Amino acid sequence: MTSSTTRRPVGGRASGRPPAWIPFLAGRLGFAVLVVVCVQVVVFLITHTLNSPARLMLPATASTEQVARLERQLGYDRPLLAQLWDLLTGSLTLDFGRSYWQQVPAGGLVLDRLPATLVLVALSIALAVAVAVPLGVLAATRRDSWWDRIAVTVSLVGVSVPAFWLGYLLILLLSVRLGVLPTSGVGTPAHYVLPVVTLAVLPLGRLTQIVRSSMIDELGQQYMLVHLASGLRGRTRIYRHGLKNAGITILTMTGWEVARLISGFTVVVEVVYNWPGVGLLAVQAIKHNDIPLLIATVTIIAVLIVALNFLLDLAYAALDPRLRATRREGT
Amino acid sequence: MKRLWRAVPRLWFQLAAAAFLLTVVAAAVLAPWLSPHDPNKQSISARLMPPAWQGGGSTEYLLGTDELGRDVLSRLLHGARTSVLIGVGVVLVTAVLGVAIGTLAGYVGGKFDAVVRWLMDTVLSLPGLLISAALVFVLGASVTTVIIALSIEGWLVYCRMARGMVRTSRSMPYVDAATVVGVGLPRLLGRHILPNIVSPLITLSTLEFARIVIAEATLSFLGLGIQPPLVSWGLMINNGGAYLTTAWWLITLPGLALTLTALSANIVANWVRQVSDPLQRSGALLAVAR
Repeated sequence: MTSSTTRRPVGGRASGRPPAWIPFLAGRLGFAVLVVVCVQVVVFLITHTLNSPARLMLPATASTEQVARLERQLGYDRPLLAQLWDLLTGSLTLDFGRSYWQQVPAGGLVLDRLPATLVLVALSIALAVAVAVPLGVLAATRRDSWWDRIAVTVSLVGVSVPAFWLGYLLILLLSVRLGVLPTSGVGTPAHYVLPVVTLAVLPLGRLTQIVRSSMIDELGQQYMLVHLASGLRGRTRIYRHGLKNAGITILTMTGWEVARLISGFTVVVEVVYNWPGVGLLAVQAIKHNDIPLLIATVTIIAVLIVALNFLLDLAYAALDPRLRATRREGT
Repeated sequence: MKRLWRAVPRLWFQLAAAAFLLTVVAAAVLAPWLSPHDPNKQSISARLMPPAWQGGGSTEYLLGTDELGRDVLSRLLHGARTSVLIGVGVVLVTAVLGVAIGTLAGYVGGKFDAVVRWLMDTVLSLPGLLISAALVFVLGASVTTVIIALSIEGWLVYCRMARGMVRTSRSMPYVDAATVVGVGLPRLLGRHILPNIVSPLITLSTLEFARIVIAEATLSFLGLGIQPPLVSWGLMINNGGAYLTTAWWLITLPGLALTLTALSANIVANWVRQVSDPLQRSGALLAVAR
């Protein structure tokens, strides 16, 4: 697909119509940018209009003059549209202003913390997928067996256990009682174990469920009966055909889970384990009433989610032969 | 009745979940009368007492006391009150809002539908937890603001479900037939299209209740949700974290209450779906919630 990207401007098309994926790509890209702008507007409205930013920063006893002076000092007395314009144009160059709390540019602060969060998310999702796919397939192929019961239990418990509580229980059991793993912070590989496991539980629950049900759907399809009738059985049938087709759903849902982890669930785990990531930074930003830092965090997280969705759309279009076929007809 | 009794051994799991959920609701309603102590009454002489069955415990404080000598049992009961109030509140607000917007978008289509889809995509890209936390912080913590903050994201799943439902049923022959005989739009939606939504709506609301209860506890745990003197399970776990090594009951008990509530709601939701939707007996039990 990408190879045709480079070919097109050179060769040109006899039909004169651009390939169908160009408007598709441009449309999705424009939409993605629009969504990020909207997210910024929402955060701006929450932080600037619902309550005076300066009043929140000062003690409750502060006089109106003191509030007004701080507002003038920080530029909150300017027209709202001008402030919003500064935010939108500034964020193009990742300039969100200086963090009130740390007194350094807020954008850089967030970018510094980003790798720690991304590593945590990547390892957790890898763990969740590595367990969920085999478990889900086993459950789907051996309905009502013990594997099936385990899969259903894992998916129910996974979505019901609050991550912060699980984190404390694991610390209590493995770090305090048994003393085998460090309680919090970063450093050695052992520091990764508890946060990664804690963060993996929720996506593990949901993905197990999704693998199981999409495999059940796939195995019930007509072509599966045809395979069975024509003597194709056992592993080839399940893995080569079933899992490959269910794979599109599983991939999409995995992408969703990554987005959900980035958009909130890492926050809790980072707080519990004192993990120096974006989530912990965001909570500190709110507690310190650090508006530039909060806006920087939310914007960068939104960009990540939107980029992820964009890539998922592309992957989805590339993987599903039905979508590919319609695009070929379009060219 | 006899048939119901015979089903008990087969359905004990689901029945136990439903019973636990009812217990939580009852505890929430009756908390002020059931609590042996005032949940906020401090007692320096009775600090960090273990539950009654453990050495050093007393039957006066059945489940022990916390770092300020407050009775854990009373706090658990009042915590149930907060959880149920916020869970039910958010589910009501978001279900009404989501179904209304989704139905309209699905039926009217066109520009309005495009705007709604774009709104849904925006909300999906918001870091929900942070936005909720910021909102509670800016507006000031109270039950109402937590309900508002958690509703920002919650309407989306209802909207998507209603929109999909209306779009598929709009082209059904019975809807065409109703239109042909002159049924107006409000009656068409109310009598012919929306009744299809009822059973998935109940399933979805139960799943959402479980999610919201955990979300409220998470906000409160971060210190960005419910604030004292109100009691929340999440807040209890937050306070108990500092006594992790010395007082296990301070985090274990509220966490257990929280997990069992969410688990029960998820099991009941699964059950409702199996009973009400024979087509999906085998199918996805959680896929509805995104």
